[in-house]
Amino acid sequence: MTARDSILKKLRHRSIAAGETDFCYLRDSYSELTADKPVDRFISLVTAEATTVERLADLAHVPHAVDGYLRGQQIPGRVVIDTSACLSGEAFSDTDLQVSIPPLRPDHDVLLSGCYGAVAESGALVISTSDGHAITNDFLAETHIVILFANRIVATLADLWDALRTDTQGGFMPREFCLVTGPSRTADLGVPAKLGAHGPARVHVLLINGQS
Amino acid sequence: MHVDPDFKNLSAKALQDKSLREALDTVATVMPLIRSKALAQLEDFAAARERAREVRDEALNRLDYYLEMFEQNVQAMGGHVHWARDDQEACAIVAQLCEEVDAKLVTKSKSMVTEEIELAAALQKRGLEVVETDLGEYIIQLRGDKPSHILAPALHVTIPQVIDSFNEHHKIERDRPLEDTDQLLAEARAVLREKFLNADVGITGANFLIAETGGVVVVTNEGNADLTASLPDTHIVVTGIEKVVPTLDDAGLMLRLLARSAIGQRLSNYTSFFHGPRRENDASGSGAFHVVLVDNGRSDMLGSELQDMLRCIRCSACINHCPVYTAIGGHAYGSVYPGPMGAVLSPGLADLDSARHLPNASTFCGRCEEVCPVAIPIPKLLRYWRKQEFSRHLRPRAERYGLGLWAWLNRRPVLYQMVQRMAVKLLRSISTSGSDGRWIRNLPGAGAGWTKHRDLIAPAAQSFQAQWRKRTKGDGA
Repeated sequence: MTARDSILKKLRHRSIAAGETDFCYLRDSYSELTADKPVDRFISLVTAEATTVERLADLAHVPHAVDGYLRGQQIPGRVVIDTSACLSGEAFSDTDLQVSIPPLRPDHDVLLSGCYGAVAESGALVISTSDGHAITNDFLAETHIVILFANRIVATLADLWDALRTDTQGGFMPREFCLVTGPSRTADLGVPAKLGAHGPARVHVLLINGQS
Repeated sequence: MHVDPDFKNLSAKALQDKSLREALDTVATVMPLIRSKALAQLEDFAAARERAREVRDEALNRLDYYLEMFEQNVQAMGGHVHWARDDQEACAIVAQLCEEVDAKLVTKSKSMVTEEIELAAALQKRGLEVVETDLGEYIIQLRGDKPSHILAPALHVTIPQVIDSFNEHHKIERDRPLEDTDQLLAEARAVLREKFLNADVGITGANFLIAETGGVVVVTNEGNADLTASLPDTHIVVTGIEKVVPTLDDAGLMLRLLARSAIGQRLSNYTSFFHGPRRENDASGSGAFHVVLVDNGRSDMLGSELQDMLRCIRCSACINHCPVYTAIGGHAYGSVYPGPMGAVLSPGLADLDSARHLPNASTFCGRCEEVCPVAIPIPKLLRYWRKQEFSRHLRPRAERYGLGLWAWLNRRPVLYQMVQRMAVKLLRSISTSGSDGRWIRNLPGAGAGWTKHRDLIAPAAQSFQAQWRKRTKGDGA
């Protein structure tokens, strides 16, 4: 008997409620205090985790916002622009920024990318491999600037599952999606936690008021 | 699973370790505070906890059904599911998968199941370079040490010790000596980044498996699981068969409780959901996706008095709140699973003979059950093991006979009271008078263990029953 068959046989034998079930599907009914103002809730929670947020009227303001942010942080103005940002290099022509396309390089480690959305309840961005987004870069960058459209912020995790199910229409979930609350951190060198463990040391959200 | 049976000596040694005691004091004071603060954010913790218990019970009560559903969904996405009855089968499967892709370098993100089955050692034996990527786990690996906490494995290691380990193992020219934690972090980041980028296989654990979607959920604060999973061309998930939950909604509920209970965070910094290998339009991700489902003693607990323990989501709240763990730390338990949860799991996953001291390492204060996000009745399960220990004649003979004698005496009230009166007389005769009553300063034999550190109050001259009799007579009742 294979290991699979012998384990499953034993589980069947020992399980309390043997056999199939009508799949215990119960929508998570959690509401918290997020229902009314998910955008405000998201901002207040994500900024508590050392993420910074800047609100912009529309996508056209992104290049100057990136330029201003990097100057403020005294980070060299070299930016890798992921396709998910939906901005071409030309959009940056009236800034002093040097822009390039992925991959990231050791001296070229500021990433500008889009994201799937955000969850107010968790104070978390949602990044995803859907639409061909190279999610791995989001973990490799030293500074991650994320474009988020306000209408993509859902109130609860249950709303996120609904959105993902609607998008995938009964097909497969994106290969990877990840809830990100802020910069990579570790408490293995003592408390308080230190930022920039393996992933970004800085996460800056450009929150666009318009629709995606 | 291997358990070091020498709890008595290991715990005595731990009590003498000053830097360990300092680290544990921080756990005991800080962790309960941040946990309760984070749980207070929830509208109704009690209701969430009750629902979490139901979700875990539903999954366990139909474990075969949900695991098969999970398997079908992983396979539909082009992934592979492997089953391992025990640690040796699990290690052999992973080794075989590494061999098939001619792997040289394997990165690993922290996983208690891989610790349990001693996977890293098994792969190293076959000539593979295995690098732990969680910073705490990496420090432990460099030091040839073992984790002392399931979430903070290097809790017992001091910063000067980390500096020594980096100096010894990193062959790097430095412009100035390593001094502070910023430098340590930068160096670890640079060294491990190279490993991430060059690894052939990445191994992660799983916090949850989702039957509905075939998803694997992994949480970290560092982001190392994502780099481990997505950069190499092969991703192997090694996890226990009990980790499955029915739906995404159920996973969301568990996540809401997990990080709050564990580290007082609303959510871990990175909560990643993996679904199969890279697809046609994907710009990144591993080309091959394997899940190894490990039994290793879990199926024996299913359907038994111990089934409730399989609900455990490894948050470590019970560990952080345990007066015994926070006095002796993790190494004393001699098991990869320390604290109250470990004291129930270890005899089940290893054997009662080697782990028999662990269920006794509890004051039964009940805090572990109180803080458990899935309401595991830990004291009840510890009592189960104590009963097993007694009935399998694993307790010392003197204790067995002592208890037998006591039981015999208890069933004979007249004799019992006679013996009691004699004992009271004897104890009072060796006591000395203090400003606040009579105290025994020196007990002979085994009693010396008590009086070496503290005085024992002498028993009252008359027993409660004697006093009661006198009083009721006096009242004329």
